[in-house]
Amino acid sequence: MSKPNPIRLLHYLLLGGLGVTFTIVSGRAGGSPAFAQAAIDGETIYLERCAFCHGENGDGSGPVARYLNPRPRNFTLGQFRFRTTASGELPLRSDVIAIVKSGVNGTAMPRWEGVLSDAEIEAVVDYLTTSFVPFWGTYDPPIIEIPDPPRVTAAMVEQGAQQFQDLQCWKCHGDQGRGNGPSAPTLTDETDRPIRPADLTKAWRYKGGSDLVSIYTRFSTGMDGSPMPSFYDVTADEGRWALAAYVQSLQAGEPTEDSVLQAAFVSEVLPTNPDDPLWEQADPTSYYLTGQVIVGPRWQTPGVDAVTVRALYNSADLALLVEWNDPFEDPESGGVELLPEDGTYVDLESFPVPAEPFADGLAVQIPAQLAEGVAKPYFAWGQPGNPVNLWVWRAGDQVQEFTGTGLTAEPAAQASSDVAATASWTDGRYRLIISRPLATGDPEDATIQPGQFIPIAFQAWDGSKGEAGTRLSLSSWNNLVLAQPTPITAYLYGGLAVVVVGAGEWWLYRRVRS
Amino acid sequence: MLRREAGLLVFLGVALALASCGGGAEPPAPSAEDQESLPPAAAGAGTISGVINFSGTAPEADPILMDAEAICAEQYPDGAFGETVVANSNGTLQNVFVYVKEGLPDQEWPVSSEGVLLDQSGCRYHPHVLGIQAGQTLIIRNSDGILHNIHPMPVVNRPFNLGQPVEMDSEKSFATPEVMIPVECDVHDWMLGYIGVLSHPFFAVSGSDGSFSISGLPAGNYVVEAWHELYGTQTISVSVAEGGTEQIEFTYAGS
Repeated sequence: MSKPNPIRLLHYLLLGGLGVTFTIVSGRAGGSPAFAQAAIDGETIYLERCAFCHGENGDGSGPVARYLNPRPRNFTLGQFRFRTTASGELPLRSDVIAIVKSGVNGTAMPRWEGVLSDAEIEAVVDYLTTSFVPFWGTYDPPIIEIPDPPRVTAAMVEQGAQQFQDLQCWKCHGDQGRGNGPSAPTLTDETDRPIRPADLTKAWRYKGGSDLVSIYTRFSTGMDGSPMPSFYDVTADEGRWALAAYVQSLQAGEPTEDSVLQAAFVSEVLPTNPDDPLWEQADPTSYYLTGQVIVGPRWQTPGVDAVTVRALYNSADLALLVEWNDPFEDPESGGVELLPEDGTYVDLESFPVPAEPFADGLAVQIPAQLAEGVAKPYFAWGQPGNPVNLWVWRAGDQVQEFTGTGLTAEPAAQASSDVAATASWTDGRYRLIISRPLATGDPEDATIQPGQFIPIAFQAWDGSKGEAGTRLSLSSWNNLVLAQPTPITAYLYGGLAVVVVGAGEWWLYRRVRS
Repeated sequence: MLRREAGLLVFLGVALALASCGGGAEPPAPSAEDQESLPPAAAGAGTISGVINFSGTAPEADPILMDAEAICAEQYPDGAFGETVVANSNGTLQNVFVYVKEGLPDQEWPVSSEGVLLDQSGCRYHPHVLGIQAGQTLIIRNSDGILHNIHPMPVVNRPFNLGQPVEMDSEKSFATPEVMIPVECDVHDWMLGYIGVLSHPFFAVSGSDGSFSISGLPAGNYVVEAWHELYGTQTISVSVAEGGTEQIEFTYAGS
C-alpha cells in the first residue's frame, strides 16, 4: 500500500463519505443502540447508512442527493447500471450485493465491504430491493453468462481496436477513449440530466470496475438508465473479450502518489512544441486533482481530476509540459457568474448550467518565497503573509502571473508578468507548455534554483462544467526538483577510486603470493 | 404523497397482475395452441373512422443539425426538420395516435403473429408514432448501417437499450399496455419516436391525409382517445352498432 495522499483522503471524505458522515452523525445524535443490537435489521441499516443519499422511500432524493453528481440511484425506477442480466432487466440479488460491497468509482457511493458485515449488506440489500424496486422477485431476469476470461494477447487487443471502430464506440467515447465523441455533448441519463461518457483512459473512473471481466460485463449488459446500450446480440464472445482487452489497454497509469517532479537539465533552448523530442528527457509525473470544497460554493464534481507533468530547464528558464483530459474545448468565456457564494456545497438542483461555457484554464502554483526556513504557504492559493505565485493560463493562450493570498481573496494580477504559455487541444486532451525564467528580478516572484525542493501544485478549470473562480479542481502540494547535471568530477573521482582500490588489491595479492 | 401512493397502488396492481401471469419476464407470446384455447374473441365488424383536423398554424419545425452523420444528412438536401407537429396540406394533423380507451368487453384479445416494424432510416424513426399490442413482436430495423441505439423510456414496462452498429433487425416486445412510450437514440439526440402499447388491436395513427380507421369492433359504447405528442389528448364517446361505421373528428388547434 502506498502512503495515503491527503488530497485523496479529502476527496473520499467529502465526496464519498458525505453520506456516511451524515449517517454516522445522525446515528449518534439519535443515541441509537443499533450498533450494539444483535439482530441484523435491513431497514435500520438502510435508514442509518443509505437514506441520506437514496432517500427514506428509496427514490434517490435523500437530503444530500441534490449535492451529488451523479445522483444516487432511484430504486423505484427499477433501472440498474451494474447487472449480469439482459438489457432493461432487473439485476440479480448478487449483482446488488456486489455493487454495495465495491462502491461505485467516481461517485459518492462508498465501498461498504469492511464497513458492514456480509450479513448486514445482504440484509440491507434485501430490504431495499423488496421495499422499493418494482417487480422485484416477481420473475427471473434473463442472465447474461460471463465465461472465464481468456488470457489477453496482443492480437486480441488489435482485434478489439477494430471492434471499437466497427461498433462505433468512438461516437460517444471518442477515438482515444477520452469521452469526447461527437455524440458526447448531448447525452442524458434516465432523469434527463446531462451525463458524460466514461473517459476510458482513467481506470479510476470506471464506475463498474476497470478489470477485464467488468468491462466485458458492462459492454454485454449495457448500463440501464444511462445511454450505454447492450451489444450482446451483435457480438460474439471472442469479439467481446477482444473489445474489453482493447478498452483496458487504453487505461493510462493511475497518478503515482507523493512523487517528485524531476526537471531535467538541457543545454538547448526550451521547446515550445509538445512533440519536441527534448521532452523525452523528462519523466512524466501524474497528480490527482479534486474539487475545491474549502470555501463556498463547495465543488464536488470537478471536470479535471488528474494532470500529467514533465519539466525541463536550462540555464535561464524552466518549462513545464502539463497534459490533461477535457472532452470539450472551451476556448472562450461566455459564462456569467450565477452561483450564490453562500459558503455551502453547490446545489446541483438549482445549479444554473451556463448557456455558454466558461473558458478552460490551468494554474501552476509555487510559493512566492523559496528561502530556507520559510514555511510552506497554504496549499490552496496561499495565505495572507505567505503568498503564492500563480501562473494562470486561460484557453485562448492568455497567460498571466498572479499573487494568491488564499481562496477568500481574488488573486492579484502582478504588474510584471513573466510567464509564457502555448497550448493545444486535440481529441479530448490539452497539452500546455508554460515557462518562466528561473530568476525574474520581480520581487513578487520566487527565484527557482537547481537542487532545491520546490513545492508545486496545480489547479484546473473545465469551462463546460461551469467552472470559474474558486469553482475549480486542485492538487495538494507536490515537489519539483531541478535535477542538477552530474558534474564531470563525479565520474572522475569514481574512476579514480576504482583504479586506486584495484591497484591496492593487486599489491596485496602480490604480497600474499610472494 | 397521494401521487406516490397512487403510483404504488398501480405498481402493486401491475405486479400482482404479472405475478398471476405465472411470473415470466414478459407474458409468453401466445402460441397458436394458446390462441385456439382463448375464448372466441368478440370481434365484430364495426368501424370507427374519422379525421384529425388542425386549425391555426403549426409552430415552425426545428432544424436538425445532422452534420455529424453524413450518410443521414445527405438524405435531406433541403435540410432536416423535427417532426413534433406535422400538419398536412388539407388542414389535418399527422402522427396522432387514436385508440379505444374504454368500453371494450373484458377479455383477452388475440395478438397478431405479425410483427410491427420500426425502421431507423435517415436517422429517423419510421413511423414516428406506432401502435402495437402487448406481447406483439416489435421488429426494430437499422436501415442506415451506422450505430443506432434503440432506447425506449417506458414507465410501466421494462426498458431496453440495444446497440445496433450495422444494418440489422432486432426483435422485442412490451408486456403491459402503456400509452405512450418515448423511444430515443442516444447517439443521435434528435431521434425521437413514440410507441403506444395496448391489450387490444383497436388503434390507428393518423396519416398524411389526417385520416384514421379502427375496424373489427364489436357493437358497444366506446371512449376513443386521440393522443398527440405536443397537443395532448382528447376523447370522444361513440356508440357503434353491430357492423356499423361511425365517423368522428378530433380538432387540434395550433397557434
